[in-house]
Amino acid sequence: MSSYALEILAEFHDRASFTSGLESVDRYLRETARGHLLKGVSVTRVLVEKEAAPPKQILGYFTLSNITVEPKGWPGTMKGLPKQPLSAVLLGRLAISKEAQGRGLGTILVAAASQLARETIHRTGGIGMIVDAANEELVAYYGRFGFVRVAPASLRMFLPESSLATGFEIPKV
Amino acid sequence: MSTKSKSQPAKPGRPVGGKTKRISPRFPERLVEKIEYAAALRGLTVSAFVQEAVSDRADHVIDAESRWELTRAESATIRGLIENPPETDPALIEAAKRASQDVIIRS
Repeated sequence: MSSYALEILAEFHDRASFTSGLESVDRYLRETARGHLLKGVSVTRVLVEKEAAPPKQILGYFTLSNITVEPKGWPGTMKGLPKQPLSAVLLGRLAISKEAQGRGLGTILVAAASQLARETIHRTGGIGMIVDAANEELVAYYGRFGFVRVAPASLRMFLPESSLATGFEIPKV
Repeated sequence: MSTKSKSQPAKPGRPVGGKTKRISPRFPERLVEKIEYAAALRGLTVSAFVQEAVSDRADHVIDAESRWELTRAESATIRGLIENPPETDPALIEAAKRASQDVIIRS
């Protein structure tokens, strides 16, 4: 029996009281996420208790968007890959509220974001999922799920589409 | 942040562009002195100097969320991962299993 629901950010979610401890992601949720959603820049989904009533407390959130990867200067030849810009799905932000930390909800959101990224790639094409980790601690966190840092000093990580396949699916209602 | 708009005639050393808008960021005192000194060295107003400095940075940040031009090192990593995709990590499989039991997607 599921306890939580993932919903696209809406006006009945309580953005104002969300605090994760990382000011940049809290501010994005409070001030920018809705605008980006309405303008088609990105989609933010929030995790709430399944039976929560409005204004629903946000336990965690993540933001997905499309990103164009420009394979300029690929070293050597890359068989089977075109030279034009490629699509990928970007996990730009993911955070859990302070009150909900320690329940393993970050794990749930990583799985959900990976599933949605994979579905998007299946529908419209793409090479995989990119993750922008906010700091070194989070690079280690995403590394535990297999995401690979793209360059030594970078906080950007990547996994190709087939490495996101898990054999499990979060039900949609 | 307080804002105020006005038309800005083009003057030497002044920010270029049409309508301007005032923002009031707060800077540490020592940084203000440094900015004023650097702007003076370049013969620019503080506004023009700050605009020039932050405009490129803002473009870069906005761009990074929608377009990624790979460096040589990044190209090599991405290429390697696409050519030889790793097996799905057991931790991701476990996470997906738990998510499939604990969560529903409503929208």
